[in-house]
Amino acid sequence: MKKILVIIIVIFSTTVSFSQNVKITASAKSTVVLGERFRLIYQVNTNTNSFIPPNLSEFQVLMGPSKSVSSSYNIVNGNSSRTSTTGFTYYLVAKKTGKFKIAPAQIKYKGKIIKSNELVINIVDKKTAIKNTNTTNQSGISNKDLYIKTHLSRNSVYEGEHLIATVKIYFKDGINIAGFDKIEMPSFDGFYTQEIIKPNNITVTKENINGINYNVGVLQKTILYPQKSGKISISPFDITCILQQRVQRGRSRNLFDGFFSSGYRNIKHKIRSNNASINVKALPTNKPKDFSGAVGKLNIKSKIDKTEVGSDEPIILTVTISGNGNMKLLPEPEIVLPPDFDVYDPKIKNNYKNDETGSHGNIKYEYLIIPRHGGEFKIPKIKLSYFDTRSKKYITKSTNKLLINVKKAEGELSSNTIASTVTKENLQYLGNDIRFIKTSNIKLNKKNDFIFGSLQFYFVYILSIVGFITIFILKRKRIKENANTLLIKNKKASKVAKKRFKLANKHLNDNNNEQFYLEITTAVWGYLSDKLSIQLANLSKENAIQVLTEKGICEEKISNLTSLLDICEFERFSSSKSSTQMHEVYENSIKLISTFENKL
Amino acid sequence: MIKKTQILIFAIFVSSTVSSNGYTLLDSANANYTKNNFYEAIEFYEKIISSNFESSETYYNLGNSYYKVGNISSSIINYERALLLSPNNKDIIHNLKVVNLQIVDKIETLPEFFLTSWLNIIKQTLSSNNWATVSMISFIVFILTLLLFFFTQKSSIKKLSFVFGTFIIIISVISYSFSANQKNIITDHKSAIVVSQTVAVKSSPDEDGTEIFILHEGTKLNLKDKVNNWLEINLQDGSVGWLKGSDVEII
Repeated sequence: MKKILVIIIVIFSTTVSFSQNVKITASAKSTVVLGERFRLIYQVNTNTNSFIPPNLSEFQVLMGPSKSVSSSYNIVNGNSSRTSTTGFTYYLVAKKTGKFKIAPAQIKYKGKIIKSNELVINIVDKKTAIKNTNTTNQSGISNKDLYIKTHLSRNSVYEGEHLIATVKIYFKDGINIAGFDKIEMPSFDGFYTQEIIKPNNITVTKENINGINYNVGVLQKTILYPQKSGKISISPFDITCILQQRVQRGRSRNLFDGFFSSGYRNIKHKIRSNNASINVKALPTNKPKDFSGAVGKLNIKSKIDKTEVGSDEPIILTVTISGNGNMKLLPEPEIVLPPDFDVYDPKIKNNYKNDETGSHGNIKYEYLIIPRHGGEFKIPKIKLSYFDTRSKKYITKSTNKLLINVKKAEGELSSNTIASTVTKENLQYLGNDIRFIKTSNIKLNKKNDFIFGSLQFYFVYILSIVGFITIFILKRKRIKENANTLLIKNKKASKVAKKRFKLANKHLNDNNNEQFYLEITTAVWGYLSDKLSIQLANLSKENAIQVLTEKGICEEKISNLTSLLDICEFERFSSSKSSTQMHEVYENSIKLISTFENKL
Repeated sequence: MIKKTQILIFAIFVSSTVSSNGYTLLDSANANYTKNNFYEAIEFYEKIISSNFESSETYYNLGNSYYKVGNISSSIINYERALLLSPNNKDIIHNLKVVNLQIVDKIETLPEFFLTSWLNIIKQTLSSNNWATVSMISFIVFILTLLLFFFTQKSSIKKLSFVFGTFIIIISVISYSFSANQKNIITDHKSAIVVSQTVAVKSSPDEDGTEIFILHEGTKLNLKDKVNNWLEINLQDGSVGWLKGSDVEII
């Protein structure tokens, strides 16, 4: 702005102002729609800076005054003339409807005050403005005289929130509507509709619009529930009215004419409604899970007619949804009943009214349920989620839990009268969900902490093998040492035997029978014990024979040995003192020992 | 000998004790899960696992949390990991079955030879570490039996110890191989789960390869080979193909 001023000053500093008739003119639209932006321009046919603005307190000044300067330079027949005009522009918006005067603005020019003209601006409603734009048609009746209009109760609603569309017909006095030929009511695409008033009886009321009296009839009143979000426009529709018009007859007027011909004629007049549109806001996205489109202000209640019943006795469960909202579009409440209840389709009782405040009242759902088995059952809360248009929030209301105590019917228990056809039921799976987490006895381990393949693991094997080997070697050594003592015993065996035989020989000479046989037996047994490395205590005839056969002694010798031992045993305690037999035994035993000595 | 084993057992025990931090994390994770704060629970479980600790239960709980927030593929991955650590756990198998109902691909598993499945059942009754312990103990018992066999005087004991020794060494060898096998399954990382929504499996490891079939999120597959960042996979029904490593997560 400043820059412009500077430029203007630079440009016009050289201009020579010459005397002329200075004027200031105000101009603006005479009729303005409420809320519309309009221009108010003051034009001065000279260059001036001294502009005194008018009082514009009735309006809202959006911008201004903004100054604009234009100048022209003309050369006509050699005479040059320079003209310049200055404009001061306001952008205004009206605050309310009505007629407003704008007082003259002033400029100072060469010490004089020059006033502009006064303006009167008519601020009108939107509705009245639209009608003004229509044109007249052939019947000579202008759209100001007769028109229809769709009124919407609100310009902005939520999806599913109701609004009222009223179709009204306006006509001035003097226009007689005989009837309607063709009524094409608006289709209201994108809405769910519910008519309140139907166009068969129209009551006419008077209404004053912009100072003009109209007769107004309501053709239709409909509750609309928008089904989608966005800007929905209601397309204009046509109505053909039959109008009665007085007929001007010039010449042939006879007496009867006045009586028999009406002097009126019916003409068809087609009128078209205005465009209307509505902004439908989408519902917020944080919808509850069970939300299914209910909008308004609602409440839900449930009731059962009895809480104690026998099995197979019917119960009536009543769920009532009441309030104000899109009742007709309400979904049936979701009722989760214990699985062995039989449920029949509900009886639905609609008990709501549609009027200008939307639908209100209640809907009753009556369910007939029959418990089939005894027990205590619970009907869980029935939930209803809706969007509250007033608080602009989702609200979930729920009923109370209901408890039903079902007693077993007598027939169910005592199967005397009724044949026991108790069918066993499989476990009913109601849902398939994952099992709950584990919370106890959890032991955290290091990742990839394996015993297998670890050093300790192999260590155990190696250690046990090493342990085995050492123990084995040690034990072997000891056995070897043991074996050595046996070997000595083995070597000494014949010596010991010889000693015994010497002693036996002595007893033989002394004819000491008992001592002789004792000496022989101990000699033989001792010899066997040492030779066979069997301890004397463990030595018996049987195992001696076994070991001897293992060592490859022939059977004859073994039988010799046994017979010798038998004889010794027998003779030791006998009284007969046959020295020949003693000699024989003595020799036999020596022979035997010596053969053993060779073989073992 | 006994002392050494004691030391060994002690060493194993010490190495497996966890700082109490891990358990407090676990407690808060479980508490969050119970309160339905699944995202927080996931965070805590992941923290435990990233601090290099694990347990079948942790993976199982993490799998549950992922399922609750709708992340099917991560849920399956964690169930599979849990199943590796305790292969016959009924809860894990059940949940995995439930989650698998939600994946797109239905792949028929080839029936296993009945002996293999029996063997697997036996093998999976104990973990790798348990089998290793069984193998070690039975080996020690075997050595003792061997000593008894060599140094007993009585032939009846000798016979008995021979039979018992043979039996116990077979057990030791079998449990050794089971332990090795179980460890291999865990450390091999031979199977993976598809994490991308859809993956086109190609016939060769390059972008221009012919697309053979399409897999969807959550499908389990076996890995065979790797070329650069392409993986050769085969499915449980026997189909083979190549896909990019970034489309799957290895169990």
